[in-house]
Amino acid sequence: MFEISLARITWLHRVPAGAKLVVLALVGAAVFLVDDLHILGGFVAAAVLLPLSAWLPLKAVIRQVTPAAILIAAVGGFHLLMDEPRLAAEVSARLGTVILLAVVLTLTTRVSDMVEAIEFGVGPLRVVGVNPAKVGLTLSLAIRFIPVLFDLIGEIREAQKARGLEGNVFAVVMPLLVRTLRMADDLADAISARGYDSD
Amino acid sequence: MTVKDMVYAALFAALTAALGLLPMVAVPGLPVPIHAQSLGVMLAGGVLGAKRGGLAMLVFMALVAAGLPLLSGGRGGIGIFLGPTGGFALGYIPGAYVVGWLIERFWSRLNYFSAFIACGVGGVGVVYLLGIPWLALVAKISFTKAATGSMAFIPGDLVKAVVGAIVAVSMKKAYPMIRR
Repeated sequence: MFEISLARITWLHRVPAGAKLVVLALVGAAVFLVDDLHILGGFVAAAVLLPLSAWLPLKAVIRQVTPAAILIAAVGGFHLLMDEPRLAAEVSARLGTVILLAVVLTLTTRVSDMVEAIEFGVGPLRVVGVNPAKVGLTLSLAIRFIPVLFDLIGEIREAQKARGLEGNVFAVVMPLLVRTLRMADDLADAISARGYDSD
Repeated sequence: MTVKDMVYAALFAALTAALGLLPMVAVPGLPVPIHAQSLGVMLAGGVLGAKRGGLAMLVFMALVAAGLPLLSGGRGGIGIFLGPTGGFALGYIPGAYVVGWLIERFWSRLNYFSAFIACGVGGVGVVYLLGIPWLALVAKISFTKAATGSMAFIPGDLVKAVVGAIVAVSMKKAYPMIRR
């Protein structure tokens, strides 16, 4: 399965997904409460050292950080234009820290581990009627069907190409939706027929 | 949550993901192509209704957060939700719910106009209602500045609402899902 995470194992890969999510949440909250530039600078330095400490390939890190970096530069530039260099530094440091840590998490955590962490994380929602096992199954089903639906789109586009309609959004989307719904009905029947306990 | 709710939500999340891997698509009568994935909110809400549509977007965003590169341009990961534009991504979840809720209200007399209102209010209005304050808060800019900066994307989004409305009305005839 295609995913962003790196296959090569580093010490960051061995940290449980849940622990990484907790650290990210805590740091995220911390940087938004702190406005001392020295402390924020410390956070940035730590966030930069983290991927280096695990020898994560710089190319992969940069590739993932770039879209957010452009946005952060735009926000920082905006504050500079408004003649607020302090605010520019503060906001860029905050966003930079959080985004960099998030990218490190994504690069070093497999999707299957994240799905497990989500399943675990929704556990307390049991009291409001959320069943973690069903959440896990729904996510796994969605992941399994991405390639199926991608192939289906290709098939429909080929068929519409023969009619000269491959560029028309309706000619592709309508049959795609109908066939997805039919597939969903069959799948739901198949799951129910196997006695899946829906509670 | 019934088995049907789970399966519809999962398959529409997968559909939204697969649409992101598709190149831009042309809208008949329009000179600029649009990105098919951004139709996902309106398709999910407009076809599945409020509950299942909202669930579908929730599942899709959970997969993005889990680290699948599903957003246009192969982006993904939990960082998407933490940056200045995170509110727009999160807004897709209540957005799809509201599209579906309005489509359900209009169902017995659904036409292109009422479907457009549903897609516009849910798929554009609700998304910006979350996205703009989030942008203002995270980037520390004024609410007005954040709103003005976001206006550039409104015309494109309204075109998507038109496409979403046409699809919702056509799907009511082809494969009605609501009240089934």
